[in-house]
Amino acid sequence: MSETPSNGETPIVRPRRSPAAIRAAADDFRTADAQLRAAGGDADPKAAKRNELLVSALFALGGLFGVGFLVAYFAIKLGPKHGDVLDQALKSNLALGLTLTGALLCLGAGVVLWVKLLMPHPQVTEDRHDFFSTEEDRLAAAADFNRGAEEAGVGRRPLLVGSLLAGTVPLLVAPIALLRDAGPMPGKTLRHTAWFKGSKLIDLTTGEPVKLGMLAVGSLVTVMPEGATVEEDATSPTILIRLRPEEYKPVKGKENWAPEGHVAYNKICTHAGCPIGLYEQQTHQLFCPCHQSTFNVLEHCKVVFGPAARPLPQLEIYLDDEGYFRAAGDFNQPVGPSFWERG
Amino acid sequence: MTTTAPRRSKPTTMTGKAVGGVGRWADDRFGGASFLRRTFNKVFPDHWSFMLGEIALYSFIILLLTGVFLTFFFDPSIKEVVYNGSYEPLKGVKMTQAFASTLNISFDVRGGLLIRQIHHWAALIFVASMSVHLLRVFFTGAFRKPREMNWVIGALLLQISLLEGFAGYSLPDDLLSGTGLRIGFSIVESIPVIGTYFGFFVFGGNYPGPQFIPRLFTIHILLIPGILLLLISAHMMLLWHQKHTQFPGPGKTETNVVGHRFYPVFMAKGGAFFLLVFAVLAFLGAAFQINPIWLYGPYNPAQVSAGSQPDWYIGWLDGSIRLMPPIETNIAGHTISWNLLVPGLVLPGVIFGLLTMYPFLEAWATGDKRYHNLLDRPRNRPVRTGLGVMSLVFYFILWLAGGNDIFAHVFHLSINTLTWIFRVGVIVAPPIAFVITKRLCIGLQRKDAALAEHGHETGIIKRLPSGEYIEVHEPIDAGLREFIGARAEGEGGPKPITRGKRPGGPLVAAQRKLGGFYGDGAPAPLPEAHHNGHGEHHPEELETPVD
Ligand code: HEM
Ligand code: FES
Repeated sequence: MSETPSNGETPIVRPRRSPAAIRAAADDFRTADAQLRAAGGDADPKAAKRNELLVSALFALGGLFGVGFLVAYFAIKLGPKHGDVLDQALKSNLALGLTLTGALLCLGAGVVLWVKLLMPHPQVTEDRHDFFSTEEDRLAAAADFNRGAEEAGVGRRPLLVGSLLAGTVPLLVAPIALLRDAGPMPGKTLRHTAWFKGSKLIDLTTGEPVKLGMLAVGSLVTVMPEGATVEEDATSPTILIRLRPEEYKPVKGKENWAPEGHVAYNKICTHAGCPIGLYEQQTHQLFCPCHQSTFNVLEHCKVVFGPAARPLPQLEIYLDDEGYFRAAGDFNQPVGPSFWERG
Repeated sequence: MTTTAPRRSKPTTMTGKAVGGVGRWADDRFGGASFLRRTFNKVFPDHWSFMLGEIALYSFIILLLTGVFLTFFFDPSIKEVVYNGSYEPLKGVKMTQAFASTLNISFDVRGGLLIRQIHHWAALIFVASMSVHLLRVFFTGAFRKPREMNWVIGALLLQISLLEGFAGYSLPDDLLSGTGLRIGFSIVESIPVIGTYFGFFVFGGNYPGPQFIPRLFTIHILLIPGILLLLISAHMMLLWHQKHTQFPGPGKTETNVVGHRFYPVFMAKGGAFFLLVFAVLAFLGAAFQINPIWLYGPYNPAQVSAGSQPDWYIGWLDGSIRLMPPIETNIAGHTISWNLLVPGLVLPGVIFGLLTMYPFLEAWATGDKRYHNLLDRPRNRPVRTGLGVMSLVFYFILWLAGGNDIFAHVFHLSINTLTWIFRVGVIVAPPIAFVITKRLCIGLQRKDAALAEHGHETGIIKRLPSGEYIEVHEPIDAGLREFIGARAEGEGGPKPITRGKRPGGPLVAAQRKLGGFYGDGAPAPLPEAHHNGHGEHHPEELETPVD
């Protein structure tokens, strides 16, 4: 290995300098210093003093803003005892934020002016040294590496290396195995919702079961199965819409799914799972606000526009003797976005 | 072996003595005086565009500072509570502890709202400054050898930061963040074979998943910030080691750096700039409301608000999802929802893949293996610049498409029409942008050449003895000439590769083609100035001016 790389890099270990050289360097420094002072505005001491005052004033002003921040912190109290909660929070936010801005701005601007007005900032040129090594160094490094491998016997003792690798493999798998309990197996979870045979349709907002007559023609309500919550059963929310009975065009197998013109469709978009948000009464279209998929209720919620690829699944419902709507069972297909095993 | 610590002449001032004392103490133990010297004297070139990366760095520091404050009060739990805090309109509403604690930070912790708002603004500015920094590096060719790996690190930083931002956006468990997570879960579900399992394991069950917010919290405050910190450190160390690039100009060569010393000028400027970035963020946090979660309300899987928008940097993904036609296939009992898989995973995967590998692709195509410390002017690399503008147009259209409902509303267009405009636009507009940009670049090169040859117009009209009128042109000064003249790099720019050895091979053929494609429009060396008596440049002019 060569001690002084020939690529022009300054060697890190420098020879001790003679006292004369040190003195010369110090002289150099003093001359340079004087030149820099001259360049930095000390040539015109009056202007320099003015600039110094200006910068100091900015720093002092920054300090004042800082004090203002502390005062605002303690003076503006939050909470219902001190007025309108939102107003107080916004007031405190504004006062704290503006004083903080002021403080930072003054300090920052002060330093900028310090550099611009009072510091010499000469353009200097520095050489780029090649940071790659010399060819000898590279060869030497390779030789050192090989020597180490040789000493360790990596090449000569394949059994050692092989068994080390083999012994490590289980430990590499272990972290993955350890993540097994991160979640349950999907199983049939995605194929079912909380709907069951005979479940009443519970109005999500009122918590009351929906009865015939509660919905006017053209209106809709979000319903949940009995005993379910949206938090636990995020795919169960379903929309119940009342059409005019003649508007429902029954298809084979779904003749009786619309008692008195009431149809129920799952509310979870078959695209990416947002809840369908809007119903356009005139066109009978359901609209998902996330990516604008549009479903036509009169055509069994066929997709008429947007990125969703499947109609919203329909829930079979019937009217019981007391006039309550009930589900005839769970949805007959998985609801919500697609997944690999959906089929 | 005995060694004596070197002695120096004593400093005379009080501070000088103190600093000297501490310095000697430290150097006796750690050494490092020579390292410090090199550090102090390191030269940094100056250009406004070099500050973009700095803004990103400072925003990151501010994110760390404000983020730590938020962790003291934020409770990442999806335990259900009935809100009983100070904010009247939500009293009695069921919500998760995560949402309640975010309300608490906003309304009951003094300065909490400010820190939250600064944190969010800093996140937006962080990603924005990083993106513009990336553009600067791209268009000036700063990613070329030897800096390819720093480009790769930067590209990774951008991708990871997007994840970090999305994770943070999702933490407060308000209506918007829950909607974003729902879509995220569905995208994961769309991965063939493993998607369902992956989703269940990551979320701890079917959406919304009982474990998810706490896990996201750990990811957001520990895992990703740790990785970011590591990558940012590597980014800075490489920058330091390889030295900054510089624009061509008088006295600037491939083998030097012209600029200011790190200490004190650059350091002071950097410190000041940090304070100013912080000041801007504090002002944004003070005066511009952001993410007012109390208006959105807590997340509820059965609710969504119309016109909800993600943070700006997710917009292009939202747009690509909106534009994708409804394609889904069912093969042998297995469903693939291309409508999520392609715009949500394949497209960003391809885009980020190309982005990350770009320096190697370009070097491969051009066969350029030289070191580059002088930056390109974008016009002098028409193809690269064209590709960049093309990508920007593509990105921007996707980004606009992410707000198609809002545009439809504002411009009274049907969403249907608008979506089709975007669908066509995203395919047709980028190539057009490429062609126009390339032409423009070549036009600008010609203008440069004319300028170098004939000089500036002075507006002075002279009558020649022959009776002819001419406008007096003044030759451009040497500095400008050097700046625009650097385009040719003395070799007419990167040359298409000609590898004689394996003439066949589709790869080599592709490389040749690409090389030709890249070489097209590369500038010729500047013409000499017309000598009309003012034209000689004096050697002094070439010397580094002191500013
Ligand atoms: C590095 C880039 C980071 C980005 C891009 C980022 C982004 C975000 C965003 C967009 C939010 C939502 C803010 C809101 O609710 O208004 C957020 C929330 C949060 N972040 Fe970060 N963050 C970053 C780093 C950090 C770090 C380092 C920490 C902590 C050590 C942190 C702690 C938090 C906490 C606790 C919240 C939730 C509390 C709340 O919303 O009030 N973040 N983050
Ligand atoms: S989630 Fe409904 S359109 Fe995408």
